[in-house]
Amino acid sequence: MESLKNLIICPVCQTLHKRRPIKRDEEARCIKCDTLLYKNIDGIEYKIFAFAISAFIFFFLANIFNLISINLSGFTGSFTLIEAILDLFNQGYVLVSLFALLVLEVYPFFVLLFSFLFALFMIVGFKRSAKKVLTGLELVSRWSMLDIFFIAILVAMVKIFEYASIEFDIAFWALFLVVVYEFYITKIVKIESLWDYWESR
Amino acid sequence: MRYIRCRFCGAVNYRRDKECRRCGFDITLDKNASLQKATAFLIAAVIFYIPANIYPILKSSTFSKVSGSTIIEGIFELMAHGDYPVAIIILIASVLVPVAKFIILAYLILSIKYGNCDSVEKKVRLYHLIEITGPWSLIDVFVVIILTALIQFKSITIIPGFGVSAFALMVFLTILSSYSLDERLLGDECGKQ
Repeated sequence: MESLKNLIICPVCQTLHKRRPIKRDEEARCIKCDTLLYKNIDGIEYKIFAFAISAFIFFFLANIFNLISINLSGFTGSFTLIEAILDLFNQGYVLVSLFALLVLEVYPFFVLLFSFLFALFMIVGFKRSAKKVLTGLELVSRWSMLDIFFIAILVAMVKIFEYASIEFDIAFWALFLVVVYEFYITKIVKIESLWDYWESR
Repeated sequence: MRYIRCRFCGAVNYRRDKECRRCGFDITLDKNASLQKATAFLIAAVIFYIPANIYPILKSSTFSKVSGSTIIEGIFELMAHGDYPVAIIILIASVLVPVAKFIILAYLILSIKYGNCDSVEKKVRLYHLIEITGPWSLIDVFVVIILTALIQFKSITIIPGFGVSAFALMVFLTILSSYSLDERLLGDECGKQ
């Protein structure tokens, strides 16, 4: 079992490598195809802990305030994230609204919660509990689609900016910061690195 | 090959093991199950692509009439207004990417089925590409959700069309197809290592 911990298989070319200690913030890449294999993320739990608390606050703000306000020839309109999903539900699009609820509210919330709990459990030394929340984080993170929704807001605004004056409200910027946090966890740190880190502790 | 990589957490395991030593997930390579699931989801996605493009995804209701537009009509409207960058984004994300994903998934499924050993690395990269870009086709569905919530005036109201449900289902099924396809099977029978 011990020897398996020291091995890593490249996800692209399947080449088997032996792990070697690397310095903080260094990366190890595949000798054959240059794919990122692992990196040293010592102390990441403290960063995640701080960022996750901030992300929770921004997620809360992103849900209670308006995302966008528009003025179209004197008529004004605005919406919150949950209002957008409820509007769709009320129009009879139950399936799409439930899907939107999951990928824009439920899964992003659990990404924040599980990453926060992972950091907390790693700090206090509850390794078994950290494994459980890490499994949960891996499962929900691929279904969180706030980043796509954020770009969709920009596309929608480009479509109507000729006809209406647009104001980006508090929730829009709060949502942007939540998207940055999720990008940091899933694309920069990467959940596989968190598994390696969990195992190395 | 003596070792196998866990799809879930990336840990190295012995091939003879059933569960990952680190995360506990199933690590067995089941070619038939993977191919059957991926093919079934892919066929269902292709079926939903048809209504997604035939029916309007967005309808605007004014005092006098209700008019709808399909994805393609929406792209032409944007081009007519000179919004070429947005038109190109929608064209790529909503029309070309789904079709490209269908073709790539079908190619990967056939490669695994017939044990094709050519350009295995490129195929794995293609797999990762569709895995990453797959959900981005939902951008159109989210635009509809945003416009529906935002534009609810007396003079004009935006209503979602049936096409949006079909489109969301199509993207969802394509994502399921790519997740079902075990990329470790690409080149597995090619005697590497």
